[in-house]
Amino acid sequence: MDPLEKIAPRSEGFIDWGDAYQRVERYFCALHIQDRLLLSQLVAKILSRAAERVEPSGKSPSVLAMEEAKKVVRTWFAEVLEAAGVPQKEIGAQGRLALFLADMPTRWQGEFLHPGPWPQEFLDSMKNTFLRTGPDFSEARMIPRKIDLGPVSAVADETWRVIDRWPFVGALVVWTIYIGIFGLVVYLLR
Amino acid sequence: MKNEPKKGRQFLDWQRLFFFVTALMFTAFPTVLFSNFLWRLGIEQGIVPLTILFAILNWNISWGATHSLIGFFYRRRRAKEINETPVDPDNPGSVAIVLPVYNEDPKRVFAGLRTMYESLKQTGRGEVFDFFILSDSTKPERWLEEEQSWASLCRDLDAFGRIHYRRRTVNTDKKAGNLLEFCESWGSRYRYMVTLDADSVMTGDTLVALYDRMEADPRIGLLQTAPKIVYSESFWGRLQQFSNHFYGPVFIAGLNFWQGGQGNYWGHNAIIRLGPFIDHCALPDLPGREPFGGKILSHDFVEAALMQRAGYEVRLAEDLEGTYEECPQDMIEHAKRDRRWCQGNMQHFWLLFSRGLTFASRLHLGNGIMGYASSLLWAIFLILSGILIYNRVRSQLSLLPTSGVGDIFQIPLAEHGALIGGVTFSLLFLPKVLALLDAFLTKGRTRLFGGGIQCTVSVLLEIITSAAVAPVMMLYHGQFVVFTALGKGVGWSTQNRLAGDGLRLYDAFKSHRTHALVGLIATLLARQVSDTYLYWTLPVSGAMMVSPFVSWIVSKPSIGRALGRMKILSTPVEIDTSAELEAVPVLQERFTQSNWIFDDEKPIPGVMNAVVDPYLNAIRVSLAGAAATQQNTEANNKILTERLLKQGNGALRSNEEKQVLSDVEMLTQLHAEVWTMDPEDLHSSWKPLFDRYRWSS
Repeated sequence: MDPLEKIAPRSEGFIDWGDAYQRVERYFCALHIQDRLLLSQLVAKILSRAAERVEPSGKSPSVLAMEEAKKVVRTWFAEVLEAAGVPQKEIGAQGRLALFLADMPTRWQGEFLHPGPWPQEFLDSMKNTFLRTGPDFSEARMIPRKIDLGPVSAVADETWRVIDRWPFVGALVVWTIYIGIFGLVVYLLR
Repeated sequence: MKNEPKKGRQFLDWQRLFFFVTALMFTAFPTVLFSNFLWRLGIEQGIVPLTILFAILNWNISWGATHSLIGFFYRRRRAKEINETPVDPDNPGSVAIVLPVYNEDPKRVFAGLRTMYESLKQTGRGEVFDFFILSDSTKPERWLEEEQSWASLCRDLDAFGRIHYRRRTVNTDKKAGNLLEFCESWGSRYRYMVTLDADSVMTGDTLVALYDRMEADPRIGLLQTAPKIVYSESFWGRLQQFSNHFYGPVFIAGLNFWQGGQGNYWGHNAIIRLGPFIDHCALPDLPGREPFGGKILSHDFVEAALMQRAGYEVRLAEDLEGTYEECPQDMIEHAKRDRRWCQGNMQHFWLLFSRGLTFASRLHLGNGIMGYASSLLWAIFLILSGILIYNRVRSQLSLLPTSGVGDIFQIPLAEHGALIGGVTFSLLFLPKVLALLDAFLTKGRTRLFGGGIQCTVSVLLEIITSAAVAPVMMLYHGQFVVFTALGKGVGWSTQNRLAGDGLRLYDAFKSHRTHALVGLIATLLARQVSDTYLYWTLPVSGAMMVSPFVSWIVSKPSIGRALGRMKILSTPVEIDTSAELEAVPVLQERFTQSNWIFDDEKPIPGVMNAVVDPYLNAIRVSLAGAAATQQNTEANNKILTERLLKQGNGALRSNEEKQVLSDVEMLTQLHAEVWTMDPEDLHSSWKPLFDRYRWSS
């Protein structure tokens, strides 16, 4: 008997299985599976596997279904990457990146979760499992050359230093300017 | 040495001498008239400072007018053939095109980049060029989108190894530091570097032409193009765009007449010889502390000066088309940009007197300072002249029959005053009139701007609007100079170049209320002096009073579009657009569709996006693995993971988010858990992320 037949309409857990269906479908949509029929087939396959485990585990259908989905996808990644001759480290992330770089949604949707053997062209396109952001370094040093700012800047620099050492002097200068401007206006309007 | 530069020409050759003497004459004549006018009025007190101020301000106006006058005649000559034969054809150089970004919209950045890449490919010379996106973006939402855009672009164009992406986690020394780090990491791999801005677009032909010219002349250290403003929508943006296209060429021809190989660098859309740049153009720290000292903010002028100090030429390729940039779309955004530029230019004061710089470099630095300081001087000039005239009126003394320069022209006092105004305004409007004349005398040029009548109307509209805006800009710039001098620095912000729906009237009022108040006070004070003085100053004070309305009106894209339909303020890029400029918006729309998970309308925290989306998560894991990441403790990871899943949006501080995003293990684990956990156990803020993934036909 197909485990899916256990999920009967009007049964107690039917709504929960609906949630599970939606969640698995969303995961495959997130992987950009756009073919409606393929999407339905994949979701049905996952739910079928989850239904087999529902009683002994005690977990909700939603959790079970997603665990199965992840397991199926990881297993498939491992097989494809092995066939493509890629050393495996972070298999989930590697597989997803390979799918992205192979442009699976546009070019290889039919191969997704399909058991092997796979076309060589597909395996070749799945070999890209890491991103190299730049070429090899060829280090150089950019060191500022000495620049003589001349006497005016030297005086200005010394003024800044004095103001930094005694902030009171800075405040005095600013207020002198303010009062000076005010005084000038008063003088001119006298 | 083959590639050592030859010694440049003496600065004051006949061309330059002629230029400066012309500018001086333009300055001297109205200054003498003005000084004599004050004397004839019987104003003795303050005549010297007022005359000096007038001379300085008039020099600024004359400087621009001379550029246009000389440029106008210079454009009438036949263009010289430019040698583009490589000096050493057996040893071709390579070019790195660098694109520094800082939280700009990745859709626009990558649309521009793709356009340039494909345009270069079409020239058949693309193999010489590599692209580098140098990201300093700090918002995870932005840099995650950059990473995804870069990966998908390289995938689609099969350009891995040709288009590179590097993000700095620490933004040391801002843009200048970003470029310095590139030069230190990869600079010696390339002979040249083309610097771009996030909004830059250059055609393949232009990029190849820049490369060929550098190959043909080893004396050139830096070759700057004159970027044309594009994609403006608002009235304000279209005004800037029209001015840039219509007045720019005449002015730039005049600029090139005197600067020759001692030109300036504007920070982008230029090609640089990397060897001397690395050797000679590292920026020194300035004395004192920020904002006036410390790290150099506006690096471009200084780099040009240092390049010349090293004996290389800095040239302006005025003849090259196909080089574009964007501009702010309203007055307030424009002022924000000016605030940063002002602070950067004020810093250049330190370098004005430094030893070893060419006179032309000092002139460029000085002009940059005066571009902002002159506004403050104008304000002082207006206040001072108002006080002196007030004193003169209040004294109720009759005028003495004094003679002076006016006698030579046989003119009474009133006409004398009008003559000064006439000469000053003529100098002010000369560049605009000459540009209009140039358009009519250059075959087919008026057609590119919508036709002869539209050109003329556009110039008139631009003059009227500039007159209405100039007093407000004077207040803005004057305020910026004072703030910088008082040590009030400005942060590093992302430039907004989008028009949106324009400003709201309330926002315009909020931003310009001080200007309106200053205008009102100035009008009341002028009325106290005399009615005549009020009429003279009303264009300035009145413009300040209505500035909120003006600012609101000019920000409107609807007005910009209406003018566009009438071919007013039209530019060649709208009438005769290039394939590259047409491609950018199309590609931007395509990026918007493919990057739909980075919704600008309903933004989702970057860290949550990177956890949920399978592909984004995989890209980030790969890049985090490639970078050296800090090793977090397992216990700490567990706490962060738990908090993010259970508390969702806002659960992590900014540094914690970055910690998660740079940790391969945490990202992988979070991605697995977020999809397999019972939705009931996840925080409700995760729900919208899952809801986005639906089947659609």
